[in-house]
Amino acid sequence: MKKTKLNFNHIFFALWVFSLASNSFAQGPPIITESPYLLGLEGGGIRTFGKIVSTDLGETYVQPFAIPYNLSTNFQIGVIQPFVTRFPKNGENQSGFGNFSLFVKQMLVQIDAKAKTFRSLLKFTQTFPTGASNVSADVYSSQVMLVTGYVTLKYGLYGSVGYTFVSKNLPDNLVYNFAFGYPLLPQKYPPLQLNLYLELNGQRFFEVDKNLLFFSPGLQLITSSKLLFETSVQIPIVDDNNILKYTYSFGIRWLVF
Amino acid sequence: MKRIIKFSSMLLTVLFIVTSFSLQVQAQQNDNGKKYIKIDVDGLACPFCAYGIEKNLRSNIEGLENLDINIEKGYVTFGFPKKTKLKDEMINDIVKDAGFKPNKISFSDKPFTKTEDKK
Repeated sequence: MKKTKLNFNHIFFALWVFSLASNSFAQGPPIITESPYLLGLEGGGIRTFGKIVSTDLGETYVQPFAIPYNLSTNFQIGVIQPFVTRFPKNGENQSGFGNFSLFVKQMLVQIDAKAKTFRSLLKFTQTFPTGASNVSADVYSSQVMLVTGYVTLKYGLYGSVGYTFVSKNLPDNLVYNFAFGYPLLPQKYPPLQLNLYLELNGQRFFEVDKNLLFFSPGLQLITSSKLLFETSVQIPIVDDNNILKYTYSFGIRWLVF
Repeated sequence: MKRIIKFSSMLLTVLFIVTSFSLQVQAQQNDNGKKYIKIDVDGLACPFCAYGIEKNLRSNIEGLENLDINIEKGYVTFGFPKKTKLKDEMINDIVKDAGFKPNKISFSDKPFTKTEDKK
């Protein structure tokens, strides 16, 4: 009985880590939550976002590289390739490339006013089982996500809801995120920004009826128009499997195009 | 006394010639000098995303200088050579391509930003 539960936890964990790679590494100004902006650092850069995940099963380090590129003002394509290293409590360390993802974003709504904007876009992500079998789930997944955001000079509110279809009878899941961003320095251009983000990041796995919900406070430092540093801690509020302790993330975004 | 009058009239003549010449040069400089533009832009809500406007303007307008993007007041100003012909349509396209909504466009022979900030 115990062995069955452990196996399920492994599958659940692999699914979650694999969803990290496709969901959490091509977002916008919020650190974890997706952004409806296709501008500046979101338009054509390289993004890395290292993540340490600590669980009862051991630690996992996920290092993705994301490259978004704007084909037009309203349409973006991108690729994500993670590299995963696992440090299991029982067993040898394992590492390898994770599953490769392609994504497209299409802007749906853009309402601009003086020093404020409301934007909404649709994002589609396709993930392929190209990763090493010991560090990634051997499944295809397709995710459709609606992303909205209202940004002013004083604060930013972001939200996203997505549904992920997973192959091989593994549970589909609903992803939902909410972020509140608050600038700690005066807003000016060229930018020198220090932003505080408070985020809620949830995931519901259907069929197995499991939930994950994180509270994710984070800090973001933007030192120029082309360079951004960020760090965040994800603290599980709801973890139906009771295996996750915390995740710690740190990353940079570098605008190259 | 006559010498003083003679010297004074010579001095006045020289002064008149120099002043006329410098006014002429100044007028010529104004003709070949800079023009300035102010573009009110909607949607400028975060500094990091405004880079697209700078990039688009610099790659499309030759001789652009003194670019100032005022996030708080929601405008962009810069200077450009008078010989460069800028039309509203072109400016609108540049701002739209950067992902923002252009609004009022004003041209002037004097810089916008500094005078407005002093008020």
